[in-house]
Amino acid sequence: MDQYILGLSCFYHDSAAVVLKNGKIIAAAQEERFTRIKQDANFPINAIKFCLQTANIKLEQISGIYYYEEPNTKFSRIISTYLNFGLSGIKSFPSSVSSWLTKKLHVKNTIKTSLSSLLNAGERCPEVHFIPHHESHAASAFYPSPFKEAAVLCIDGVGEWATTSAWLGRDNKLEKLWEIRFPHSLGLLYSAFTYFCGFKVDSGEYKLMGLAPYGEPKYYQTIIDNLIDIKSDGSFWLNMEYFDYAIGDTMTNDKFAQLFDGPKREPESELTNREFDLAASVQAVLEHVVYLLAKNIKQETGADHICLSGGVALNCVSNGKLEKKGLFKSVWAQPASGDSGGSLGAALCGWFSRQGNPRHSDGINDQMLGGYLGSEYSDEQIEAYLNQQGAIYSRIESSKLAPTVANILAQGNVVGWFQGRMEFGPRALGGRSILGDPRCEKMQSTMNLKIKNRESFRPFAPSVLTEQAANWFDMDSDSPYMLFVHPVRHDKRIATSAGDDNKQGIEKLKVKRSEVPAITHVDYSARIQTVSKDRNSLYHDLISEFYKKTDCPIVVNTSFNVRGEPIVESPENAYTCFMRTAMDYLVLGSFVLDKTQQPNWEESIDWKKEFALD
Amino acid sequence: MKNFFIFLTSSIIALVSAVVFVVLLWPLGTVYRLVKDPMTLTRKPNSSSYKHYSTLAEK
Ligand SMILES: [Fe+2]
Repeated sequence: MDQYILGLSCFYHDSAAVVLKNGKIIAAAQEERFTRIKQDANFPINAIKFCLQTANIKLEQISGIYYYEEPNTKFSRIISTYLNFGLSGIKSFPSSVSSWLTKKLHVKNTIKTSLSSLLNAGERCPEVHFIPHHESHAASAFYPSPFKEAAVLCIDGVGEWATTSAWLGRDNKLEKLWEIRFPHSLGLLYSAFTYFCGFKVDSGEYKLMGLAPYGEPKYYQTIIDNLIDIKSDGSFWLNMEYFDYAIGDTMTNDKFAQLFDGPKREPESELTNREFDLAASVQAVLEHVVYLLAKNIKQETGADHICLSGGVALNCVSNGKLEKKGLFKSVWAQPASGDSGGSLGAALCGWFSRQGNPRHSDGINDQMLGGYLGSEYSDEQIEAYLNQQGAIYSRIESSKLAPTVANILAQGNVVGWFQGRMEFGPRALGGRSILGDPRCEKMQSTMNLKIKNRESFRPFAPSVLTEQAANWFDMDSDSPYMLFVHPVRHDKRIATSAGDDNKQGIEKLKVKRSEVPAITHVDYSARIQTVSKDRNSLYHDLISEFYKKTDCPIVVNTSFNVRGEPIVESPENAYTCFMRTAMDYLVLGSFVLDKTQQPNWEESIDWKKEFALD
Repeated sequence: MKNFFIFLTSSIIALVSAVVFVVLLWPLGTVYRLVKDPMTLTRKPNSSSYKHYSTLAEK
């Protein structure tokens, strides 16, 4: 008889649900995609319904529910924190404790009550089990990886106590080696700088990483001298005199501001050299610590491979540099490394570690199915929606779809691309993407300002044919999940003038630096997604056709959403986003829509206010 | 009505917890920190590594 396991992460940020069938990942999705609330932390009832529907089972058929955290241990950490911080904790203690006593401590009950609507009379709710937060992260990194044996490094903000942990995975076992504990956290150090530079904690970290190439690591030594003590084994201690995150409402305090020449940047205000340099500095510190930790784990375990997880594993610049150091034969990072992926880790832990089921790995392929684990819509469903909207479309037969869209892209158009299953994790990988021509100089500003409705300092990512990647980028490994940054090859770069080199700040982005300027950052780096035929055949065909027409095996790939909006889930979300923005074409399954032919789009609300700026 | 009940419960809990903080947690914390500083907040531990190998039960 088939056995099903449900994994859940919720109540903090980015809730998600996953279902396994006999240990294989059948479906996984974040709740935000269904509720349209970015990083929705509520109980993921919609994601659970989707998972059950995909597995074609009823809730009662689930053999066990695994939750990605141990609430009691986390609560004891919170009480210990207040014991440690004395009177300064009085401000936040009442609100923090009341949310724990009313909700967060009763996770089992909350889950069972929330699931009751999915049970018929006489059906019982499956048993709920807790998996420690970092064990969930470690499991999400190791079990789906291609390796029989690997070291695992998890770095995030905080779970229960652990903020960094090291593991050794072998077959179906995951052995914990050590951990570094709260409040000493590399993730929270990075978040503190994210906050200080005027970006949102838990989502703006990606922006800080994108900002770093504009600056010089001028504050590196200041950070090392004052904020963090790093030992030769990579373990670290943060000086909490500068931070407020343990018990306060903010991440940093006045002493932190004094150290960095003044108050924090106000959100949405102009970026200055200070923010560029702060970003470059903390990025350099992070890379240094990650390298030392990895080096130490290599010495401790002798493992050939390393798996990464936790929010810090989404720092693709650091991942790319770690890979280049060559400490390990290969580096594999979980694409849903943030807390949404905790649901996957908890479920896999349940299957392999707690139930002791055997695990098979071939050393080459991972078990993530290219990250395409979410919902999908048939052509019939799409057509029904388009007809109901009165949209004008043409249906293209499957063999002509890739050449048709490649032609549209080669003419400089921006295309919304909605195909197959939705991605699990924060990156769009050709399932729910907006695509463009990377050779076009104006593409970056067009896509940023007219479509994404966001700051223009952030680079776009390239999707490149796997077999062509090494001809365009300085890389020799696969990067199917856009988790590694590598430089554009020297022979694809374009010489810049002295005037160009003197440009400062955001102005640097306007300089054409390579044959593919839309995806080349100011330091020539690119966040690469390699696309192979076996992982995404249609997307591979599209880029191949684009390559035939243009000699360029790369397209610009950005997530299908506007700023502050979760990535689109349904044809309705996609069509709405298409009509609201300056996108030129929309391709939904077999249907191609030209913006100029669409009926008028009117909304009674100001949709830009619908999504809080991220 | 349900919302009002939730509001009332959380307000009472918040009030009680503020009192608990002042009469219990604060004095207890002061003694706790004198004896042991598990978070190594003010006292940077004099060791060659900040790793914890022990299980949480030993904490
Ligand atoms: Fe985490």
